[in-house]
Amino acid sequence: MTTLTLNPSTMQKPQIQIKRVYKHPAEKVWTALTSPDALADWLMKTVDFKLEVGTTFQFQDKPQGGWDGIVHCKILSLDQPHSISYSWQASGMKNPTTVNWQIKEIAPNETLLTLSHNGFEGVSGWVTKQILNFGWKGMLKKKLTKHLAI
Amino acid sequence: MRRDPWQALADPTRRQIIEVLSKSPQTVNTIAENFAISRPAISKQLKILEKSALVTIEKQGRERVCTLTLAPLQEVQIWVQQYEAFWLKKLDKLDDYLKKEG
Repeated sequence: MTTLTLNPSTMQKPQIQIKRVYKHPAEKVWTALTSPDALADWLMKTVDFKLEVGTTFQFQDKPQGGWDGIVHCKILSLDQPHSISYSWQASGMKNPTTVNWQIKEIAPNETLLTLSHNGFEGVSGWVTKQILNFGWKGMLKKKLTKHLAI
Repeated sequence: MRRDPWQALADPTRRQIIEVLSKSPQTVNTIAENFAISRPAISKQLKILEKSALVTIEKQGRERVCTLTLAPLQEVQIWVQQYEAFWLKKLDKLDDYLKKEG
């Protein structure tokens, strides 16, 4: 019988929140997040991107590790130059997830960017297979190390 | 269709059942002994956990034995960790882009 570890983080719905401060004005960060040319440079190439609530667009990248390279998105809300959120559904996701960007100028030429990505509910069978094939071992080891360090 | 495992965990009774089962597999009757609520009520909660694939219920003679599996939670957690790594990399690239643009 395998021993299962119950830790509080396992019992909570996982979500991502990352904060970064960039030494640039908010307007510039906003443009980097919302112009197709900029997005193609640092994130992914876009198809049919339009800065309008309700617009559906795609992010496209090289297919890799079983992923077809396409993310289907829809702009959910816009508040220029403070926030933008869109749905994010890559192949293998059961439900679309949500990506939200908050931009706040905290000082001249200093912008706090907060990225939230949530709504991770379940993965389809093949994603699990990919994880089991490529990621599981390494990730589990890392998690275990983290767990032991506490 | 499988239920969202986190939704299944939102309920305090179900979380307690998970705690009880984390030690070892138990029969429905032994689980029920840990709770003040009725056995049918416990069975109902166990069914929800079974639908979320967090618990498997197996008939052994006259007893039904419940076993916990955290795999559905771990799968999603590992997936989210991979996404986090993706975004950290992209946010570095955003910094490079902003610097490049002057």
